[in-house]
Amino acid sequence: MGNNNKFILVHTTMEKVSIEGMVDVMLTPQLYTLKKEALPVKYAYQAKRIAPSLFDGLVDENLTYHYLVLKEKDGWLFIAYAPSEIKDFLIKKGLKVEQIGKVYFVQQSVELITSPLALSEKDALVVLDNLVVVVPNLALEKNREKMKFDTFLRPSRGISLGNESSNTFLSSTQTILLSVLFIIFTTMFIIEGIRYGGDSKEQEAKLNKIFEKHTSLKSSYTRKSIASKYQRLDKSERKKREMIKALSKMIFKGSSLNTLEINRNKFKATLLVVNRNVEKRVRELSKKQKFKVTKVGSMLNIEGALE
Amino acid sequence: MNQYKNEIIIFVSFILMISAWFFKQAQIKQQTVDSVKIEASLSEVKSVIGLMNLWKDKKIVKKVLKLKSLVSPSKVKWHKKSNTVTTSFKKLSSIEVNRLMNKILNIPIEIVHLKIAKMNSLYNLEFKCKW
Repeated sequence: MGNNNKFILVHTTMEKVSIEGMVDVMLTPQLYTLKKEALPVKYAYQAKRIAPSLFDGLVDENLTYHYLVLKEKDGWLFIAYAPSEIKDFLIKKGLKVEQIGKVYFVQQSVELITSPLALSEKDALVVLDNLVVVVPNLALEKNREKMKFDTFLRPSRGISLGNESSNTFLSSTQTILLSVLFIIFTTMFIIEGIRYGGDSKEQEAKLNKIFEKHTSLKSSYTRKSIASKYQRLDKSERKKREMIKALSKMIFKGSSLNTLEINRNKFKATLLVVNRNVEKRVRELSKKQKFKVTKVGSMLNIEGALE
Repeated sequence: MNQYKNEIIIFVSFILMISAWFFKQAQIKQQTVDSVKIEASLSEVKSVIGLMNLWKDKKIVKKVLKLKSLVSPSKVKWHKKSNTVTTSFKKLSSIEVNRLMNKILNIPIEIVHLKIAKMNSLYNLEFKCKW
């Protein structure tokens, strides 16, 4: 994706600007401090660690400085800059904090500056000893051709000022920390959710295994119909058997079975009883079972429903 | 918009987290519902299978046929059609009635009709069952 941000050169003598949209800025040496050192370090991060000590006494102690380290053929180039100072300056020149995109240093494009680059009527940028510096126009040859500032000078790597506007409540660090925390929780919840979804599959597999053996039970309608048929049968047949067992307890010395008839939904038995005591006991046992008892001569008719 | 970039990032990631939490809760709820449903189906199926195994056992025929051998063949009239048996036993002693009844009660068959009648000191037994 190409960089569509406007690109401007920022220097102390510039006029106030009025620009819409995002703006990338290139700073002149007036807004940074530069130092060249031949250090025996191999990597930029090692050089960056040393950077603050190199600028001791050279920069304003009341400001917080950041450092950009560039590798040179014969050493390292250190650029010290104070983001707050740059930010204040850019605001003073008419830019809004949230408008500021990437910030570059003119030193980064030193190889592209082949002729003086005009800053104002008084000053220009020139390259001296491979360093970009501001010189008065008077010091330049009068007829010397001057180059124009354009996007071709935009380096590939820029810095960010940490564009928190004054309205923001959260710093970038807080934002990163909080959003990472939220994303971790998001991931956790999603994983747990997916796991919960998988839990019932085990039981489902168990059920499917049963259905493989008993295909007729797969449909819940059929299943309910079969269950209802067998439950009714089971209940009714158990009742018949319980009734016969209860009746058999009424047959003892002095009481004998004369007839018994069982149909699908009722039964009727006739017991011959020899005396009142036997009759009383049979009646008591029948009452417990909620059977209906009637006496015909020496016979007791016992009836009941089987549903 | 750009000035509230940080807040927007936090807000979006927070919304994502809340949505994920709701997703998890929905999954838990769904899992409980599914689990209860499957558990109910499982117990229903088990109970149906149990009942079917009891009342539709293939060995029932053999057990029913054994009833014939409990008394002397001269006392038995036997008629079997499909899964139904209609039988009558004549002149049975009380011991034979007891033996027959104990056997009948222990076979998982549907007693369609059962009639016992005492004639003098002996019993006649009519019995119809199906399975």
